[in-house]
Amino acid sequence: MSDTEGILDRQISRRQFMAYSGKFGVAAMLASPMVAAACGGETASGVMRFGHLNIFDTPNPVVTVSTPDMHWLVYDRLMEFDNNLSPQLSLATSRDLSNGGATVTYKIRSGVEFHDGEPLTSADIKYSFELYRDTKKGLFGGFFEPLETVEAPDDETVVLHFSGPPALDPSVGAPIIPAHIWQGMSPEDIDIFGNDEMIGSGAFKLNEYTPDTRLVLDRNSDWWGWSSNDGPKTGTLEQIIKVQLANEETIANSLRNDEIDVTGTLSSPDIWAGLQGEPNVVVEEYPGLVLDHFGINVYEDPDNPGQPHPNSGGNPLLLDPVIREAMSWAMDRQRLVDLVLGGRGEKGTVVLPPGLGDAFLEIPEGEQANGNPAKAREILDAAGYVDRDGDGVRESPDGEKLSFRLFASTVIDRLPLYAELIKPMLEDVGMEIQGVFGEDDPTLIQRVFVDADWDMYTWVWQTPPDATFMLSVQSCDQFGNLSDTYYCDAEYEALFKAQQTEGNPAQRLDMVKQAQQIFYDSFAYCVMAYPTKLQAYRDDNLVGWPFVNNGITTNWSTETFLIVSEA
Amino acid sequence: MTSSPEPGTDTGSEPVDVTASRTVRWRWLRSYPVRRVLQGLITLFVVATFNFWLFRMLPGDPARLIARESRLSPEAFEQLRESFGLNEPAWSQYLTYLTKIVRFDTGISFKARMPVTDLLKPALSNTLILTGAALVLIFVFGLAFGIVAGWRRGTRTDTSLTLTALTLWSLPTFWVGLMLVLLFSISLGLLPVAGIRSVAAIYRTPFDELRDVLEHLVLPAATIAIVSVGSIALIMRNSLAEVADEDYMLAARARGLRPRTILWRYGVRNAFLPTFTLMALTLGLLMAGTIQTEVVFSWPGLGLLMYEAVQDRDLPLLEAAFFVIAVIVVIATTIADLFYSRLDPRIRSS
Repeated sequence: MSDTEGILDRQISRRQFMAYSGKFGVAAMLASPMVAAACGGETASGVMRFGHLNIFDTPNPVVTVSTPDMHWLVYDRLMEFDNNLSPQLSLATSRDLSNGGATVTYKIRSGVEFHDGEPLTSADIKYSFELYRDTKKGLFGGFFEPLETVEAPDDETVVLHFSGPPALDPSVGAPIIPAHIWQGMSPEDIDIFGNDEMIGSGAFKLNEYTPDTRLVLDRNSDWWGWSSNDGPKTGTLEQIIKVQLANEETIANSLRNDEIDVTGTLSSPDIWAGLQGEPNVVVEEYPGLVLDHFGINVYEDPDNPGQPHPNSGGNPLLLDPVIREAMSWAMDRQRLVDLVLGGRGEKGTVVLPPGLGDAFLEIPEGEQANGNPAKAREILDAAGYVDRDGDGVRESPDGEKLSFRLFASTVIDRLPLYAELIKPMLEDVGMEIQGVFGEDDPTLIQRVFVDADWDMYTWVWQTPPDATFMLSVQSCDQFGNLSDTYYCDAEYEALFKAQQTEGNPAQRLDMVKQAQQIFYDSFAYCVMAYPTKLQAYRDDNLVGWPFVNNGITTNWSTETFLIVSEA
Repeated sequence: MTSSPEPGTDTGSEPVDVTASRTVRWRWLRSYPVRRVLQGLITLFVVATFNFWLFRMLPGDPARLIARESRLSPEAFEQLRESFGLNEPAWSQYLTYLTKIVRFDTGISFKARMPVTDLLKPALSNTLILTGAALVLIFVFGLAFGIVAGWRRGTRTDTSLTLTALTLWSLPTFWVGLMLVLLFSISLGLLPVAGIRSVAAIYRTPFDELRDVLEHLVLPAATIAIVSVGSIALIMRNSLAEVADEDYMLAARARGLRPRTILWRYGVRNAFLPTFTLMALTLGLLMAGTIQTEVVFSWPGLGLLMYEAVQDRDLPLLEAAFFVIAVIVVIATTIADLFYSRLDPRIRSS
């Protein structure tokens, strides 16, 4: 015992000290909320508080590649997607086709003004579309490739000349930007233009933006849509505040605690399910426009069919479709849906998700190469891939082991989970998986899309509400860009290109489905699942929440923001 | 040593000892504060250099990181490189980068397409608010626990406080944060879950806003304090326990001084030196270590900004954020060293 013991006892006993310390700590912790409760916090009414993992990348609509919902609230478009994701007239009042559908003439509303009071005319549309076409930047640039010329014969008429009838008119998505602000900027200037004033002509205008933190949009009372003759928007929101929260747990807890009104997409079924039964919280499940897939490197040398391309770092054995088909048979997709998605999704088959409706090719259950390891072993045996040295790993007739690298993006939690579950399924049929290599997106994008140095990987695609984008991923033209298998097939290519300019919807659908079947039979993709979209919102502050195809707030429609009202 | 004017030179004044004058003129360079500041500047140069080359060693084409959209044509990629100066040779980019640092120009964010300074300023002030509040809690509770445990070493109080300090020190930050949210936000509904302000709050007076920020500050600051208080408590405890056996303590007791006087004038004052050093280091560590707390509470500070920047590979933002942290750490440690040298002159002479 120390000879100094007892000194403090004369001032204050141990028990007293502990009691005082505890009280002080608790008091410090609780003082602020007590004061808060006494003061009573005040929250604005008519505000939608939207909690999301990302607001957007940049206010600049020309270079943005993120979800465009906020840009679409600030900037008008000639056409827009409605709740069913069907293109509808928006700023345009009429749309006439000529020249076999290759020429589109729009009439636009008169008297429309930008948020700074300058008039919006066809010259602004011509400027915007030519900018997208010429710079090919951002989310919308790529859709303007078939656009040849734009005419603005008068202030309210725009004529678009395409190389052929466009399957998806880019007018549906492209924000119309004010020429009087953007004109005169070089492409380099536009690349580094922060656009911190965000002058558009849309239903809401910018009030405040703190990058990666908070975006505040105020109602534009002068917007034409609030009093449109062809069905005014009935929403009464005065403000939309989109806040960026760092993770889905925080988003869910903020909704529980009445700090936000609606969540973005919740990719974790557990977190979503945890919100069920919470007071004033509604959880919803919507058809998704997402596919989770297992992509295989099939980069072949066009000059030596059957041989790997000199630039490919993939295992040449994967060029044999038998091995790829065996992989597909070995995968139990229902198990993947159950374990990874918590049952919130469908088994994967073709390259388009079922959320695309009629364009989705339904593969009958009995024709799906899925969940049958015995069949996988059978076709491998028949092709001469057998285990000759008894180590449990099959070899090719040339003695090459069926040993592959499996990569997974670590940015979305479920992708490494898929890979971890698929690994034993493939090992069960005699393949060796050297490991599941998790990589972040920039590294994996470089590996797959640029260096072609991988064997298999798990990835996710989110498609626009049209078939062309997802089919284009498999186009031979997309090597080094979108292609994540280096698949190239002449028959598929012809169908893909033909459907882009096919004016007859029924014939186009037929082509789209044929292309899906061809790609499915190639087994360059093993689509694992189509996750449904999971969201939640509160029904005590705002009312009029619609059921929107692809989610209460979607990547492709702004309808919810325009029809929801305060309770 | 003396010197005299050159023959034939009429200086019109008294002879001057030039060497002595030079010695006096440059002596300040060898003074401890100047040496310490120069060391800090060299450290910052090294950090800036590491920042530049380290991030460029990451796999991936920076232009592709900027585009984050693979549908760009090769021409468009080339133009992006020009816009962001990535078409220049690496050494040229490095020199431009150093020049910009001197001018406080941190470049344009790859993602937001805005000056990085505009992103850093609000984030830095938010982090300083958080770390400032946490530091106060850490030192109040850390010193209190350390003094009691050290002064009552070997007793049950010492054992229980030391055990508590070790336990708190070993707790994972994110876990503590989540538990506090579950308890105070979800179960009790007393405190907000996330952010620095209520999303749609109306502030009638500045006091309303202050109250709202304080309310949001409680849990993240408490999280940092809970996991950091142990180190200060243990250092203070050990220092105090050591000085308790010093001769001057015995002498103080022999002189019949009051126990409180002995504790504060002789014990705490002497035991405080190592704790003071740790305090300065803690400030630096907190600046860099708030990432987990800011992510759990979506506190819009430097840590959260860096977390997002790493995910987006926003190199200019990452370089600037790391450099700002380095500057703060260097300033904090320099001030601590200078202050320490005042408290303990042996430092200066060594």
